[in-house]
Amino acid sequence: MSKATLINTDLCLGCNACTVECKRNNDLPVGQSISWTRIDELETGTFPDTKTYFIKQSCKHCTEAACVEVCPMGAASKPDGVHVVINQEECIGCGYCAMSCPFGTPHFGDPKGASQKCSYCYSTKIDGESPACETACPFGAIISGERDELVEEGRKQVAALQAKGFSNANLYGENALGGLNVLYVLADSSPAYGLPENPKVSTVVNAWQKVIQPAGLVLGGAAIVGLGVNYIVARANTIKAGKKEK
Amino acid sequence: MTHHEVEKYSKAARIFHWTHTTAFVLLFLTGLILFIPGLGFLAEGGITRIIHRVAAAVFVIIPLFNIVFRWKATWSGIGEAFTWSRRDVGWLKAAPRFYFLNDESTMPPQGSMNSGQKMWALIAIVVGIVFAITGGIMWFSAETMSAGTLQWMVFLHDIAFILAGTFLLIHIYLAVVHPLMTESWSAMVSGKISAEYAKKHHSRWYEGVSRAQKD
Repeated sequence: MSKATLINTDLCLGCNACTVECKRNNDLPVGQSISWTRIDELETGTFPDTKTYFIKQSCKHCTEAACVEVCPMGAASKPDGVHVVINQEECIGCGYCAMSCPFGTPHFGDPKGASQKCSYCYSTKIDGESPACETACPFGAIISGERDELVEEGRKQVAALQAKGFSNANLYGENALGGLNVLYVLADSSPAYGLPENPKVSTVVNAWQKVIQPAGLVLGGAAIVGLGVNYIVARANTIKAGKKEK
Repeated sequence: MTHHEVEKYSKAARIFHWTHTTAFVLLFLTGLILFIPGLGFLAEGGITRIIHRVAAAVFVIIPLFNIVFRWKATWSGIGEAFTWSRRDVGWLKAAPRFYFLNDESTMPPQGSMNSGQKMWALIAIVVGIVFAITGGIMWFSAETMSAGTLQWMVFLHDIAFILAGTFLLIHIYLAVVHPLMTESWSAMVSGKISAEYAKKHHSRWYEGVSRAQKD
């Protein structure tokens, strides 16, 4: 089971129906402070030869997810093994996920300070099937399904776009970061949509849970044990020295 | 027993030490939660995030005050912390025998700070600067810095945390718990230590002080 989403940016008119439905379905406050999904409008080229692209930006649910790797509290996890959910109760708002995400997705608008991002409607799926954004899109730009099938479908849509003259059209996220679970059909190169060309998770991010956290505990623990041993030995020798003086 | 007392730390030095210590301990405890997720309940509602930032402001501002208003003392303290000689190597070699076995025979005479205290001062200065820079960038430039830069800031901040945290434990232990360090606590609380203790543990400093008094 690997349920993913494919977004065809060429079908997106930037109507924000997905944003509205996301907020409603996940009970998020109105306004920009918390936006699990949003529409970005990007203009490229120089006047009068300009193009406007719309892209639905939200968590990409990376297979190699930096936020899951770095979260000190284990609050960012994949409860279903595929989609990344931030447990709002466990998050203490340290911001490491926001600083590690190659897409800059997690953000802090909640007064309680918990990290905010799309949960793939983890516990709020419409009909237990589809994320809210998919059901809301009037143009079928968002479709969810088995990842393998979506990759196939994405390639077809890319080929169709290329045939229409969009020579830079590409399928984004097929292999990046172990494969994104939110894939995009882009009509132009990824930077034109504000997406990194080659998203990466750096070694220092991966080192946090695997090296830094345990190293800190080991060193701190060793210091406490060492000082305890020192106290016992030093105390005994001090008493001995005191007796000699008498 | 009546004993002659000498001033080890001036009132200004003690105020600096304790305000900075309070900020540092708060920063340490709120940061410690990231290493011990079981303490997460303490951070409920993001309160530790606020405490960490308020303490961070104090942590940075207090030394700046210290530099401005106690320029001479700050400079001589920094000078002492960064001046290392053969005497310090001798101290490091003699330290285990002293701190475990109560054997001071091989210990070279020490100044106002012994080599261990100098090491801590040096680490505190270096690590404090690393904390301030990396923390400041994470706090104020999260929106403008590249993800790669921010990730290195997190990494350096955490390495500094481990180093500073470990030495903080040792510092507190030696000041409060170790059976031989009987007066370092009162030195930083009342400012005074006995002449006896000064002669024994900081003889080079004590000689200087008593000479200055005679002059």
